[in-house]
Order: sequence, then structure tokens, then C-alpha cells
Amino acid sequence: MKLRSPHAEIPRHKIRNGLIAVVVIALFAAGYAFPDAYNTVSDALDKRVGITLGHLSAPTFRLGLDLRGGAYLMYDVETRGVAESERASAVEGARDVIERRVNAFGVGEPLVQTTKVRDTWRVLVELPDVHDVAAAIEQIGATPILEFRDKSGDGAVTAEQQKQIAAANKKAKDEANAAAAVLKKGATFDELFKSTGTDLGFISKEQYGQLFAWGSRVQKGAISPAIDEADAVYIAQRGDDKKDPVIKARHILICWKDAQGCATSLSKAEAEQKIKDLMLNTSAQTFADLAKVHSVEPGAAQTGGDLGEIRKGDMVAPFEAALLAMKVGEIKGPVETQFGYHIIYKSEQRDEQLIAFRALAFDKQAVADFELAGGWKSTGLSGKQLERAAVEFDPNTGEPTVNVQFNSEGKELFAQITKRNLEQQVGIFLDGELISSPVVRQPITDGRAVISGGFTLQEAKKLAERLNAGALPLPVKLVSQQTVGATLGTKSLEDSATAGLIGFALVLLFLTAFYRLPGLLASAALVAYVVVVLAVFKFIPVTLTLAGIAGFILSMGMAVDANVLVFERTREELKTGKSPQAALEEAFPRAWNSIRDSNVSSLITCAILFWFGSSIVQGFALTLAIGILASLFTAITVTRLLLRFCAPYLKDKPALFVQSKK
Amino acid sequence: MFSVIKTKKIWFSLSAALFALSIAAVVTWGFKLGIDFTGGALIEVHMTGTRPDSSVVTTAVASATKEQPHVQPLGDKAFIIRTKFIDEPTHQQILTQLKKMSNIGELREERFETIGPTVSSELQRRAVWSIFMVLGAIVLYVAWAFRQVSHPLPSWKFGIVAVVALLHDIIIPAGVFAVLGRFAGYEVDTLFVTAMLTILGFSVHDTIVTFDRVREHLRLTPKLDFAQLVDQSVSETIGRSINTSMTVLLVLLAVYFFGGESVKQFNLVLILGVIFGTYSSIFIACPLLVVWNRLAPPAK
Repeated sequence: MKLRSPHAEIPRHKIRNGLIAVVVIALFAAGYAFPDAYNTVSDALDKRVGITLGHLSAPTFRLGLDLRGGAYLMYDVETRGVAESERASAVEGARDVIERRVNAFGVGEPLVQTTKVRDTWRVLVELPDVHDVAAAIEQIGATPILEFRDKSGDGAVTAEQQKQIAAANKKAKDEANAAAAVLKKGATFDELFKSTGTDLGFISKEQYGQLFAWGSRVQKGAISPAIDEADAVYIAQRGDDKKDPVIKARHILICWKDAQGCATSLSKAEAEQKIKDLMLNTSAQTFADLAKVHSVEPGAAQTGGDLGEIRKGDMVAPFEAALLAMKVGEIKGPVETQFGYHIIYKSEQRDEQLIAFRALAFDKQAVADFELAGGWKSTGLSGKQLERAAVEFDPNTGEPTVNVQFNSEGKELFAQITKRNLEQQVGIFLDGELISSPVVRQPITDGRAVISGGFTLQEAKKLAERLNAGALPLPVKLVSQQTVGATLGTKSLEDSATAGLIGFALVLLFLTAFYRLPGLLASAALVAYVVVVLAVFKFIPVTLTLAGIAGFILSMGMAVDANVLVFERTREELKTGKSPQAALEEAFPRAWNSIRDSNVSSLITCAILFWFGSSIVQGFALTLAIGILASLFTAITVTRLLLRFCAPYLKDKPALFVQSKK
Repeated sequence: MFSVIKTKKIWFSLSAALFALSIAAVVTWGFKLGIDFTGGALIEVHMTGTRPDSSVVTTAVASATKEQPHVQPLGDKAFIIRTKFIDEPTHQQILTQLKKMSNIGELREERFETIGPTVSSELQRRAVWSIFMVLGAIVLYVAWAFRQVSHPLPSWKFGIVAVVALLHDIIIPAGVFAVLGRFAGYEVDTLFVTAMLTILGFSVHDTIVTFDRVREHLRLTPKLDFAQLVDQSVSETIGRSINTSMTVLLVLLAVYFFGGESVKQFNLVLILGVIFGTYSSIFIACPLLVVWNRLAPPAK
């Protein structure tokens, strides 16, 4: 039995096959990296020699914005109003909207990404080839509010509206404080009252609690600070005070056919007879039951004729006069009004304090304000739940329509809305303006809707575009921008390419001059290295930036290092009297430790640069790391194969081989 | 034979002097920080007609920003303008003002960068973090790679020495940039830090190769005197170190001279780093190993 020594001859055919494999890989990589060059050669062959090789097609290199020109925009997303757990999806929503807007703008291959840096959410936008960055920024930052409304919904407000309310209310407060400051500086209340004043008249504690509380502490003529009430912020001047009665009562109404709002056929005389009969049967205990049965007032069957709390001015004059004249517990009738004959039961009376105010009012907004003219109410369906809108044509009429598709949440909402609004209109509002109000013909459960409103093609396109743009679910702020003009980008690319070629040529020259034949072979390996790395850049694909190309060029220099290490080893082995071939076989495994350790340290650096760096730095780290990994393959495997292949032919020509003259 | 160990006093004094001068420069003048660390805006405009005087540009920009910008001519027909952080409307106002300048022909904005204060402070924080991460990772890695070595020096000492050499390699280019920042307006930005980190990777590369030879000799000829052993290792690897650095330098010089303006300063840092990195692996790291061994001989 014979152990194979480490220096045993490796079969020739294995070396040859390995070498063929390497050449094939390198050729493929070259074709993939430079299809144009291949095609030129192929065309020339076709023309002159008549060999048809066909054409290669391969993707182009992906160039960063600094090399092709374009804009890089960084937006901070305001997430404070959103619960922690929902932030990620809300930011994703903002990203989607921005992407739609950017797509509508029509620049080539935009890239929109989200990222989180500590507590700050960001949206990063890359716009290659964009000419008018200012217009793009405007497009992204615009916040049209798209809403679907109907006339029967519960009127829930959308998040956008809540924001709008909050903003309006803050504005009201600020204005009120400003006015208070003006008053303090010596302006008179009357002056201001002339421009923005409202006479509130007498108000009760129930109507304006805070205003009333302040009014009851001060004397007539006093001027209040800013007081925040539900409908507005007030600065008020106290007027007179008085006490008014508040009465609780029930009534029974019998009307005749000509009376206001009456739906019976009784004559006035018949009505009078009926009310007199009823009057005989009334008592405090049975009054409510009697009202439920006999009163023609709408809703009396439920309320038992209860009128609730009655204040001065609430009732028509004859009714009020009778009521005021009655004692508590008394039943009186019939009392005639324009509505018919009444029997009245007065159950309670108390006095209520009232204070008069004149006020400067700074209006706030409330949910109710969003009920627009025409009774449109919010449905909760907004641009947030829209997936996309597109222009299509009605197959029957040829009229352009806008087809919308909702996401799953919107689909459900839309199904509910269409169910409760059959044969009724649904309003589509943009920035509070009704842009279309289609009639629902059938419940729509698949989340698709067709808006047909006699649009021209242009109008339909515009509507679809605006619908696609939708509204940003969260406000965004531009915190960083980088724009590179196409001219500068092209120049940078040319400069980098020139520098790369010159550097490459210098390295090849240096290697060959210093290490002779092995240097030449290492140069061949370096050529393989360059085409393989470029092919990998295309394949992944890696976005090449200025820094990235610098990283690649640097890796070229470092790729040589592995070869240099091996050659220096070989020289040493030769000095100990070994044959060139044996020296080579010894040198590779021995140099491996150094090669491995030193490259691992560079890879660690790349990894850290990649995790911690900005996008520029990441580009650099990525290309450098790919370069280092590829260099391990080419410098070790390829160079060794080449050297092994040549070694037998050069046994007698050590001068061509590794021979140190130092 | 030339001995690094015997001549170590020369190298130590040379390095100590450069080191001290660099630190002094950094402390006295500090760095001129780029806009990615300070926040601010940079506009590069090219024109087809006559380039006006810098003061004209300054006035035009100041009328929009209400603040003195820093205007620097670039080539024959371009300016680089630096201002505080500006929003898009202000940016457009500046361009409108610039276009009003007379005889400039067509004005083209080729580059615009603006970086808000939150972004810049975050970039700063990241830069500092990544430097410490890389240094830490390298100590750990070197200590791990040399884990079989325990005599006469424990492996973590190899790690520490490697890092001392690394500090030397980044502090001297930093000093050079403090000087250039003071007198030529060179800026320290994200790319500068990237270059620094790359130097760290490259320089430790070199140091490891030399240490690796020391490790091999410790295994093969353990009886040899440590100083002599290190000397021999250095003389065996010096050719490789210089040749490798030469190839990298050739490439870097090509990029420096032909690669365009935007990566010039980045390349300068790398060139300085490669030169000092190679120098320190040979002339600083190895003698330090010997000195440390002599100061603290391991208990036998």
C-alpha cells in the first residue's frame, strides 16, 4: 500500500478539464457582462467569414443615482398619532401612496422603501432620470383627501378629518389667545366685537358650562380670558342675568283636517267634541296612557305626550301662555293652537339662572361639521382603502369610466355601503369637493366599482390619477435630498471606467514585470476575476455607485494579494532547492492561512460597513465583499490551475519561472 | 541583514512624532465636517457663459437664504455652494436668484444635497459606532485567529498590538485631514469614515500576514530567540507586503488621477491609509510584539 504524497502528480486530464471549465465560465461571464462587445464580434464574423453566432441579450448594469442622474429623497413620517403596534403598517400605507404618486409622475424605475431608525420611520424615494425634481417633490407631498360618503351612514369621521378637526381647533385657540393679548394691550372689547363678535343672548349652565361658570363669578361688564367651549373658543363680555322658569309637561293633541301638519279627517267641531270628552277622563296618573292612545302628535305612542323641559320661546305663544298660567299638577284644556286642540298637564316647574353674553367667537370644528350640504355623511371609506383606479371604456356606450378596486378592508366597507344605499347615490369627494355621485344599482361585494359620470377621456384619466394618488395616511416631511444631474452622472461614470481600466492595466503590467510568467498567468486570472465579478454585479443585481465602483477597483488590487502571497512563498520554496513544480504545490497550501485570515478581516469590516452604513457606504461594502470572495476563487483556483498546466513545459526554463534575483 | 528590531527606535520615534503631530492637529483645528455630519445643503451649478465672481454668487444666494453661503469655484464654469439646511421652496428661490446673474448663459444644477439635522446627527452616531465596532471585531478576530499561540505571547496580545498599529494607521490620515481641512478646505464626511474603515480592514490584512509568519516560526522553530524570530518573519514577508501595497496603490493612484472629482478625497484617505498601514505592519506592529514580550516575560 502506498500513501499518496502531497506532491503526487495530479493527472493531466484533470488539470485540462478544470482549465476548460474555467475558460468556459469566464467566457460566459464575459458574454453576460458585455453582450454588446460579443454582438459586435459576432456581427463581424458573420460579415467576413460567414459564421453566424447570433446575438446575446443580457440586462444592463444597474447604476446608482450618482452615475445616471436622479433624485434621492428622504422623508420622515410623523407617527405620533398612531398606536405603536400599527405604525409599521401605517408607514407601509404612506409608502404605497407615495409609490403611486411617483408612478403617476412617470420616471423610470422609481424605488420607494421604508426604513426605521430608532424611533423614526422614514420613507426613502429614489427617482432616476427625473428632470423636474421640484415638481416630483410637490407631487409626493400633496395631500388630496379622497372620501366616499353616503346619506345613511353613521357619520364616523376618518383619520384625516380628525386631524383637520384638531388643526382647526388649535387654530381657534391660537387666534383667541392672540385676541386676548390684543385686549390686554389696550384695545377695547367693542372694537373687536364689531369685527368678529356674536351676541350670545341669555344662556344657561347646560348650554355653555365654562362660560356660565365664569359669568357667575364676575360682575356685569367683565371681559373673560379665552374660554374653550364645544363649538368655539370665546372671549366674552358678561351682560345681565335673570331667572327664567323651566317647566316639565305632557300634552294630548287632537287636530282637525285644516290644522298645520294634521293627517286626520275630523272637522274642527268634531275635534273640539273629542277633546272635551277626553278632558273629562284625564287625571295625573292616567295622562300618559291616555296620550299614548289618543294623541295624534307623531311619536306620542312612545313618549306619552312628554314634552321634556320647556323654556321660554320653545312653544308657540298660546301654548306657552297657558303653560305659564298653570300651577304645578294642574291639567288644563282644551287650549287651541295652529296644530289643534291640546290638553296640558304641568308636572314640574323650577327657576333657572341665565346670563347674557356678548362674545368674540373663534369657531372650532366638530364631527357634525363634516356632514356636508346635501346630507352627505362619512362612511369611513377613503383613499386609504383604495388599491387602484384605472380608466376603462363602457363596452356598450364606449364612454370612458373609472374603475376602482378596493383592498380587503375597503372591500368590506364598500359592500356594507352599497347594501344600505341601494338605488341611492354614493358621493366621491376629493378635498371635500363632490367629484362624482354614482347611483348604486346593486350591492358590490368584490370590491370593484365603476364610476361613470359622463366623463371625457381626459376627465376620466385625471380622476383615475387622483384616485390613485389617494391621500397620505400620515404626514411626511422632507429631511434630506440628493440630486445629481444626468451630465455629472455620465461624467462620473466615464471617469470611473477610465480609472478602472488604467488601474487594471497598471496591475497587469506590474504583475508581469515583477513575477514574469506566473505574473502573466495571474494576470489572466485577474481578467477572469474582473469578468466574473462584473457578471455577478449584473446578476444579483448590485446597484453600482461611485463608491461601489471604487470598492470594486480596490478589490482588484486586493485580489492580487493572494497571488503575491503564493508567489513569494514559491520563491522561498525554490530557495530551499525544490523544483519549480514542487515549490508551487508546497506554496499554495502554505500561503492559504495568511490568505484566509487576512481576507476574513476585510470581510468583517465589509459586514459592519454594510449594517451600519448609509446607502453610499453599503454600495461600497457590497462590491468590496463580492470582490474579495470572487478573488479567493480566481486567485487560488484559477491561478493554480494555470500554473499547474504550464509547469511541465517549463521545467528547464527556470528564468521564465519564479526566480528571485534579489 | 536589515533588522527592524534593531532599528526600532528610529521607527518608534518617527511614528510617535507623526502620531503626536496628528493628534495635535486634530485637537487644535478639529475637522472641517461635511454636510452629512453637520446638516446643511450643497449645490453644484454649471454655467455655459462667463463665470461671475464668487461674491456675486454669494449675494444672490444670501438674498434667498438670509445667510452668508460658502461659495467655492469648481473648474472654469462651475461653483459649489454650501448653505445651512434648506427646504425645497428656498432651494428653488436660490436657483431663481442664480439664474438672474448676468452673462452666465445657461445655468444647470448638477448636484443638490440637503441634509436635515436629524439625519446628520444620526449619520454621526453611526459613523462613530461603526469605527468602534470594526476595531472591536478586529481585536476579537485576531485573538481568535491566533488562538493556538500561547507561548511566548498570548493570542490576545497579538490582537491588542494589531489594534495599536491600526490606531496609528487611522490617526495619521486623520491628522493629515485636520491640516488639509484647515488649509485646503478638505471635509470629513461619510465617505471619509468609510475610507478609514477600509484602511482598518486593509491594514490589519497586512499585519495578519506578518503575524501569521511569526506564528509559523513559533511552531517550526520554537527555540529561536523571539526578537530574532520576529526579525526573520518580517524580512520574509516584507517583499509581499510592499508588492501587495504597490498593486493597491497603483489602482488607487489611477482612481485618484482619473476617477473624477467626487471620489478624490476618498481616495486620498485610502492612499494615506495604505502607505501608513503597510509601514505600521512592518515597522510598528512587529517591534511592538518584541517589546511587549521583553517587558512582560511569561512565567515559565
